[in-house]
Amino acid sequence: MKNLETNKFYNLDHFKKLISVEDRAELENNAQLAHYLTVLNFGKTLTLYTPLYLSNYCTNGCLYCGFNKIISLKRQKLSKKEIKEEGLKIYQKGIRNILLVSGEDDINSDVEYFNTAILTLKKMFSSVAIEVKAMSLNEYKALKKNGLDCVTIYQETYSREIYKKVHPFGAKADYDFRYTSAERICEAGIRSLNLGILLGLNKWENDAVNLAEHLLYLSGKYPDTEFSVSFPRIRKNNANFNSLYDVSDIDLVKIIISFRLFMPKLGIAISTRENEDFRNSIIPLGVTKMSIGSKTHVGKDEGHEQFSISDKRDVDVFRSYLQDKAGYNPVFQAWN
Amino acid sequence: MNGDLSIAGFNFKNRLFLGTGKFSSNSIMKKTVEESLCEVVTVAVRRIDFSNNENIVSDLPEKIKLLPNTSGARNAEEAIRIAKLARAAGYGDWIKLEVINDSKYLFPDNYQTIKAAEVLVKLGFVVLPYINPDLTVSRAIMNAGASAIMPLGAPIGSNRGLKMKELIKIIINEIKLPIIVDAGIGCPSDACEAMEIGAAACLVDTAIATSNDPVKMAKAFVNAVNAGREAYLAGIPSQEINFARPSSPLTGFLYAQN
Repeated sequence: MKNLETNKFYNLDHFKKLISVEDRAELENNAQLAHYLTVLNFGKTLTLYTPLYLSNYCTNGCLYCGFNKIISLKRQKLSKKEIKEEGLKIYQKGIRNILLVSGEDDINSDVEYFNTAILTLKKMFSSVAIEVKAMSLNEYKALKKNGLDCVTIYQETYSREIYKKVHPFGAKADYDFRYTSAERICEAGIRSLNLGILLGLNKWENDAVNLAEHLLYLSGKYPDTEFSVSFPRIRKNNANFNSLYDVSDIDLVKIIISFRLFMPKLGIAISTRENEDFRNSIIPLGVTKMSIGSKTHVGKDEGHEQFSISDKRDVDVFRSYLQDKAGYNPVFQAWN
Repeated sequence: MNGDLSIAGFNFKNRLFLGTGKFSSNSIMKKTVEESLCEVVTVAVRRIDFSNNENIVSDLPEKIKLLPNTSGARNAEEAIRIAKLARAAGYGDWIKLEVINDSKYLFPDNYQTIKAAEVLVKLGFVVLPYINPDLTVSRAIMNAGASAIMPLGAPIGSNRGLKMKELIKIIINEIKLPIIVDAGIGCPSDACEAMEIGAAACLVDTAIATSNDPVKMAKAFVNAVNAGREAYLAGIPSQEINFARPSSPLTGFLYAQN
């Protein structure tokens, strides 16, 4: 492996070739190389995190989302006390990285609300990340001051046409504000940025290439930001939205491998949308972070999830699997 | 003690320093530390769960010198914060300074490293800074009061060996501090090579942690470090600077009286 062709890294043309591989033997070869690069850069480790849904109030109309405004469901948000209680439950399972998720609603879940949540949970969790609405530079800076160290923001799709179609109204309908939030997050000095696409909205090859290009641009301009990517596939949801395009297991495997070979130090995060067996199988291909012990509803309201969870394993069960079967070191503590 | 490596009043026999990142399990990591008899072990402060008595550093042999590192720090301010955090949590005064704001190559920021070293030394820390090999930077760090210098052999995790050999040799020759080669050492012969040119020690993480048998690999590295050190002390003939000069001048005969 000493003859690794490093000129193929960060190479968009090479990325396009990687995602087009059809030959099984070639895919296997790429998988072996992706595994090697991941072990070299990360060791056989997997960082674990759990999401906490703060609020399902939402003024957006995203067609694919179980929280979208036109869906009739009990709207609620966690109080400060509930945030602490829910956080403690997650903390007691050993988790030290928490991801706060919320719908977009400036009355019910404004920046002050996020600030309160971050300050409350920073006392327990060494890393607090958020996956919420796109915000301004000053808003990101303010949250960072209170201990926010990671932001997840998905472009969903880079096709303006499809983006417009699936975001018919609400602030999220503004493609450009969404797109430029990645730069504002980096500009605010936030340590880690997780970008993503929602697979099934567009032809996956198109969005994958655009995501790669976006990453290339951002990592060049902001070398001090730690980048990671996610590519969840559309799952059964309360919005009754079906994928516009199919994304097979092979397609997702190609995406993971290709991103690993494109940027050897890139974080790759996979959620519990994928099932247990599939998640187990893709770990060696380049995945560095996985959520576990997730629930995608607010508080106790089990009927109204943002999306259906496939991998329902408990933290301990997954930890045992990693240590005893997969030979991977589950990493809970990764930041102080 | 003759032959020991001396840093800030501590003497070490084993010149292989061990990193603790990237191991496939904490138990393998701990076994590697124990069986290699490594005396200096680095650990990323960001990986230490202060709220848990059972964490990445618990159960390490008591005799080792734990060297917390500021991995994750992107500037001097963050590095200083992390160092203080480690000390406040009871992990001592020694700190390996790592300031990296380059996510592509993971090169250290030499300028921010100097800044952090200056502050941390004044705060009473024993500072071992990780740098991109540069003589001017090394001088500044030595003048700041650091206790050693840790130049990279090649980018972290690359296993590419001593790509920076010539620059490291210059630093070894000019700077009167222990020079500990850190990062990029991919195999025992790389470590041996570093010791042969006069490095005081080698820090290895990826090449050991990600090998199929880290315990065996660590022992191989110890052997290599010892071999390189012994060769250096013996004076390697092919290295001109070590070639023993005859005790009598070679051109004296030209001026002898007939």
